[in-house]
Amino acid sequence: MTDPEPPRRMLSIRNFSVTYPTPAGVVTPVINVNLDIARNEALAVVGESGSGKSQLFLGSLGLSGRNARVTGEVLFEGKDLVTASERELRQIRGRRIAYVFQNPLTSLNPYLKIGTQMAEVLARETGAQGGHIRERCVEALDMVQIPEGRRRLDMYPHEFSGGMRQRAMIAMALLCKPDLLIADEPTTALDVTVQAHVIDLLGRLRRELGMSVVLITHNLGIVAGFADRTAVMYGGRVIELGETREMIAGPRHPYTLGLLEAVPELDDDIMSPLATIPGQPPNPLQLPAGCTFHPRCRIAEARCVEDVPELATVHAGHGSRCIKWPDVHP
Amino acid sequence: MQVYRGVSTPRMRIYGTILLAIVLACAFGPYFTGYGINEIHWDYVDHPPSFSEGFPLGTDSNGRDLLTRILHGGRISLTVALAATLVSLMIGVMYGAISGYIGGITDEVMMRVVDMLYCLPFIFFVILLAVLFGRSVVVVFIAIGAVEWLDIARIVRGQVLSLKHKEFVDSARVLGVPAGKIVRRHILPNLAGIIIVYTTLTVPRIILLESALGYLGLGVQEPMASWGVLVADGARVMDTAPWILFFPAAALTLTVFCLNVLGDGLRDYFDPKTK
Amino acid sequence: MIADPTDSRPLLQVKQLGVRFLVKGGFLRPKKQLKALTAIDFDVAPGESLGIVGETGSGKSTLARSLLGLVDPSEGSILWAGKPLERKSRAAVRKDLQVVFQDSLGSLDPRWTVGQSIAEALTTHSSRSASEIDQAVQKVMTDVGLRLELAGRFPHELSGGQAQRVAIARGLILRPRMIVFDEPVSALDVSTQAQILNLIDRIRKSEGLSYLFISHDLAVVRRIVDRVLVLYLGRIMEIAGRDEFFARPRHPYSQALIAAVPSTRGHKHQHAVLSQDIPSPLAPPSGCVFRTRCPKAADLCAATVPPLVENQRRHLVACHFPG
Repeated sequence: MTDPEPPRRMLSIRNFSVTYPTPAGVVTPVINVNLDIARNEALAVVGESGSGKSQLFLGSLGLSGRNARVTGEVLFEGKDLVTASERELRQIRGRRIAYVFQNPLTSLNPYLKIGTQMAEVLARETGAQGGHIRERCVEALDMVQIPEGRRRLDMYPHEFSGGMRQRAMIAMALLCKPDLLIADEPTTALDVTVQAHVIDLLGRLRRELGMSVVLITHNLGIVAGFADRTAVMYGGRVIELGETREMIAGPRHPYTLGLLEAVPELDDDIMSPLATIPGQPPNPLQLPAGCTFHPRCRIAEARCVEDVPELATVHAGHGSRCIKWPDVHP
Repeated sequence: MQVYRGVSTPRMRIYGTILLAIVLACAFGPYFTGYGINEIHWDYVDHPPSFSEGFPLGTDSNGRDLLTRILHGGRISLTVALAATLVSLMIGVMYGAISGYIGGITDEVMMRVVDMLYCLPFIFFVILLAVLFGRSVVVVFIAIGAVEWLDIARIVRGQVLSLKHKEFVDSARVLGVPAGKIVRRHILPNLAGIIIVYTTLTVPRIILLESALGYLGLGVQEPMASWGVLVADGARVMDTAPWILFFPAAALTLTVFCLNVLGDGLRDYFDPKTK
Repeated sequence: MIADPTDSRPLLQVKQLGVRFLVKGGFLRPKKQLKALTAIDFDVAPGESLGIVGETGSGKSTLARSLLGLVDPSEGSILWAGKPLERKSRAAVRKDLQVVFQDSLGSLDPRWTVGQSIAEALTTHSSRSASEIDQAVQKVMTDVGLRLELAGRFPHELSGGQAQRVAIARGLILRPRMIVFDEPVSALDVSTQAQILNLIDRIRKSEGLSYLFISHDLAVVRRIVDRVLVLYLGRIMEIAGRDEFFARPRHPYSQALIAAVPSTRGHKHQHAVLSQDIPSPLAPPSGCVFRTRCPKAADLCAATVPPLVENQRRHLVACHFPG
């Protein structure tokens, strides 16, 4: 399927793969991914651990590690990040594209005050100096709804609660007014009460600042009210891509359907057992032949083992890598 | 998938063999060199290495065969180093593990004792021992052993403090495994890596410590020699007779290097993640 | 072991349990007292499952650890089958009370194989022969859905779901009467989480097991418990039967927790999502500890601690203005 040409494309990932040599053999965490992110769009990338969802964006920004082999194209405003030099990448990372990591406690230096760490980012990325810096830091904290910003700047990370640390990380990412914010499992380490809050915050920031936001998550529950479009990854490939609301209402890949059914919800009928996807996620060293999902698939048949399915067009803007997609029903 | 994996890697085998050769040479070599440790040849003072003259590594400033002295020196250096390391490990690991695992007041008291011993001036301590018991290898050995266990006790205590809050230790406690068994079966095996690294660092340090004592006249006495003493002797004449420095230093360096390679290999072997 | 339905005596009783810690106040500052748990009162019947919910810092894990004897209570008592559970008497109930931690990988010794870890309880307590132990390990591995060839593997070779199954297997091998599950699924992927939840539910039915299920995810709790206990800053806010709790939560905090559960179906929430963070347990608010985040807070709430009262049969709420 070809994307219906989003008018103002921000980031365009084309035939993108990441390969690592390991002592046990070659591993390909990302296989031939095509994905576009439009300006001011909220995109969710959903998958379980090992699906390649984080590797896709780390690799796009040249953060895959030295021994990784990265192929394909990642166009950011016409510039190919795959062939860009480390210097050029540094110009873009942090300033134009910000990345928020999953664990806010280990991403902050415990020995430095929050204010110092934020000022460092500002000074490095924008060359700003003097009293102006503090002002902008308070402003950023205010934006992520951390009250009393002036006082908080003199606190250490351990004096912040988990949710506040994650918001401080987001505030740091916002300091340079990026065009694209990539949030990698920003809520996984947080309480449910705080999760909802952080997701709401991301949505509001996107509207107010006109950013594009990519939300990487394993939890389909949190994308529903947030993302315009959702890409589901499995075994390194995007296996379903479409408008979030439509995909959740009518998934066209058995894996997406399985994921949706496996999330416990408050209005489930609890007399019937929770639906599960049998088996384990694939071993990256021995990916199954053909459709990577076929060993766990309820509707797999002989031809699923033969070829890797192409992304079939369900209709414009909704694609599924399942040859039996018309047969996928809840 | 490889199912069986032996202890050794080719690298470990090579350096292990070299180390074994050094140890065997020191143990039995002196019987075959044909010279005594204090056999003086006045015609051959500071003689360079020469097979035809019968001194393959040359002679020292007193006309003694250097090879014989290096082999004898190796006996003393290796014995002192191994014995002192073993003793300091046994005391230090036990002490640190108990202190860290029990914690609380016991830990405070045990660690203050360590601090007090740290404050003891090492040289003063050795002189005291030498006055009381006379100068001998045994005194050197006791002095070093008494000081070296302090480091490992602290390292082990720190590790135990973090290990005892791991959930697998909690799980064992909930299963009702007694404290002694938890330390023996869960804590100590997980210290193997750090203990091995520590050992490979300590053996050479003790060899050097012993030589410092020898230099001050508190260690091994003439005509006996350790590698440290030989290196010190050689350093004095390095511009006129460099081989007197070179060969003992080479023996020392090679031994330390082999120990490091073996230590690395063993640490990897004991780490289940590399299996 | 099937629970005898006529035996109405509680298996576990917790009476006025309090746990306090001393926390370092910083350089040259006095130590501060942290009230991790205050006046905790509840009981669990044989075969019953109780969900304990609350945010990070609510004292859920401290409660679990004090029941397991990993933390000493400062006041109050814990009764097991009517007898006080103290340091000395604990050895007798070890077999009956087991635990499954959240970080299943961390709860397995990295140097032990899966088989060794599962068998640890047996090799510690009983003088069984090697073949008896082997049989018991095989049986329990089959029960939790682990392939037997995994017995020789090391923890780092397991997937998250497999590691959690191993942790459950080692908790089950002594055939206990109660298991404390401390956030057993919150570190797992969605599809694995569903498998483990179904496993826990199945074991409970086949073994007649009681359990405490600690979690911050109410949608998960709803699937596998009979009653729900809500903790906030070390105090009980509400206790109610599952259906009653989810149909008519009375405490504003419970209502907020329910509202925060994400939904793929995008239905509208009745109650507002909490905006602020949980206060520091070192400086809890006066009166009702929840009042700083409560939409209904009034002067009364700052003045007096609301008592935990039974306002319907088996439905207890600690709130001056229950909804």
